[in-house]
Amino acid sequence: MMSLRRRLVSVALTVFAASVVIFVALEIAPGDVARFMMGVEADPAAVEALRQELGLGGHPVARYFKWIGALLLGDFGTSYTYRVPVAQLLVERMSVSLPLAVGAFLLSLSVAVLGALASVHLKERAVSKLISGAATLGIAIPNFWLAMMLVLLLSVTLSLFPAGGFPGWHSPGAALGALVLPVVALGLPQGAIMLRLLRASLLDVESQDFMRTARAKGLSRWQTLVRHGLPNAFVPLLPILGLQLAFLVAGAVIVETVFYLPGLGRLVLQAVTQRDLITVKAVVMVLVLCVVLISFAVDILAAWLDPRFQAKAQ
Amino acid sequence: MTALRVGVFLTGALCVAAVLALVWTPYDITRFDIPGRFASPSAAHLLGTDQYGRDVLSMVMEGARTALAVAILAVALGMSVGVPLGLLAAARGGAVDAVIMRGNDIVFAFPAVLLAILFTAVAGPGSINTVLAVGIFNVPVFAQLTRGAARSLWQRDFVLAAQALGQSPWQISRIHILPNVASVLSVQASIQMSLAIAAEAALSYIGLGAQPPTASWGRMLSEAQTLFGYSPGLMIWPGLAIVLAVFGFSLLGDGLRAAFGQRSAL
Repeated sequence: MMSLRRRLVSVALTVFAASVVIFVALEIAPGDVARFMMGVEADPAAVEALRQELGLGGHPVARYFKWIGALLLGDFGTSYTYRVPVAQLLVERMSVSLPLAVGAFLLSLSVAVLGALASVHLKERAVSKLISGAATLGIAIPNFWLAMMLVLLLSVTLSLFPAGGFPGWHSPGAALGALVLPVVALGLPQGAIMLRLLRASLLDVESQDFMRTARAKGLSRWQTLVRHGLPNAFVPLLPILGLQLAFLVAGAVIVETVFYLPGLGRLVLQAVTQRDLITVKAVVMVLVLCVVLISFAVDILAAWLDPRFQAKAQ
Repeated sequence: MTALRVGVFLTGALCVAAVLALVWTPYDITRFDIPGRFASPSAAHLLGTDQYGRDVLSMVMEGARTALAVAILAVALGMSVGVPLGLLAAARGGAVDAVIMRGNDIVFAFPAVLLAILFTAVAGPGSINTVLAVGIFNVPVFAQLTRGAARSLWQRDFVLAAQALGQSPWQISRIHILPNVASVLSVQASIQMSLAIAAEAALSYIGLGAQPPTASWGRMLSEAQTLFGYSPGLMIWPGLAIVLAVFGFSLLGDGLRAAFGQRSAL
């Protein structure tokens, strides 16, 4: 378990360093934060009031630890533009962003697994070439453009799905309907990337001895691929998958913009234009935490699936 | 070899369009022609005109210039910081290596979009932010790749011989290691170019990248999106340009990799 402890320490260090970067970028770099947020023409008394409210008076190091301490207790401060606790905004917006990211992940995983299996199984057929060709092109299609094309085709022309907006979870059917196109736009290009990686890995695994042994004991080619090929093809991919999942978090910011979804991405982009640095700081911190924790989880999964990883870490 | 040919052709076409846009475009894109707006493709305007009557072909050419300039600067930034760091980590090992790798982990925690959000929040939107955000994210990519390739070279006999001759680690890195990792780096540079072009488009689309009057494919798309009903064609051309540019550089990378006889990156 030595390696687990070392990984935990490394995750904690990464999060700490990232929080310092965010703090320095948003609280030190702009100089006078209160004036920066309110603009040059702002009333000096109002600026002074905001300065008091933000607690900008103290030493930067003390302010940093005050911020982190509050974060650990779930206090993200009060949004400057919305005048509500940022934690409340985060929870509201997460109820859109989380289903979007999870849905896109599941879609991309199924596309990658089914596509790679089919393409390797039907090696010499035209279908296989078609799948890998489509995947190669799919990598080049930006998610926001795919999103616009889907809206043009399925919303404007065929009116099957709403073109944007989110009705809220109190009408679950409509809410799910509003998430269909965003999930497809985010998940499909990601699926194409993973498909190509998985296919290459599957082709590597296919020529190994244990695959021949599995055939010799009477399994069909398809059974061999699914039972012995797939799990072994996944293991070397796990570190890359962790990074791809992080890109999913970033991609969600962009896809939310296309569909006017009230998620974390739109929240932070609006906060940027409104110079609401308190909200920007909180959302970026949460997203960075997601990215770090995802790659940590994938690391742990890799070590659990393949003891060789653990040996390497030690 | 097909991949390499198509890749060279597409990236070549992109470069020609971008360089040409430096000196000439069919029309001046800073001039509005309101009576001539939303024109369909014709001999005068090969790709039609937009909501201000600007020539779409000229806009796409200017967009190619923006995309290529941002991508080249970002990848160059990533390489010029990342490659020396990777060489250093491989040459020194130990604590230096550990510190550099830990630094990589920290940068990897900030996808380019998040860095761009931080920069824009403080400095306002612009192409410089895009270059910095994408460039910084490229640093660990090149550092890790260089370190991995260089470490295996340090075990080889010709490096041991150079050490026996009394060459310093710095000389060895420069004379013996760098030329041997150059092919791996050029493949990766091509792939990072494709990712950088996609990132530039995405960041301009959400309003963090190029600002008017600079033309950018991403911004053209975000403007076209508000005009769904009027002219769907305005959404096609910039999108197609992005796809072909990204596709071109990723094919170029695949083709170079095959030409150098490298295994795929797993």
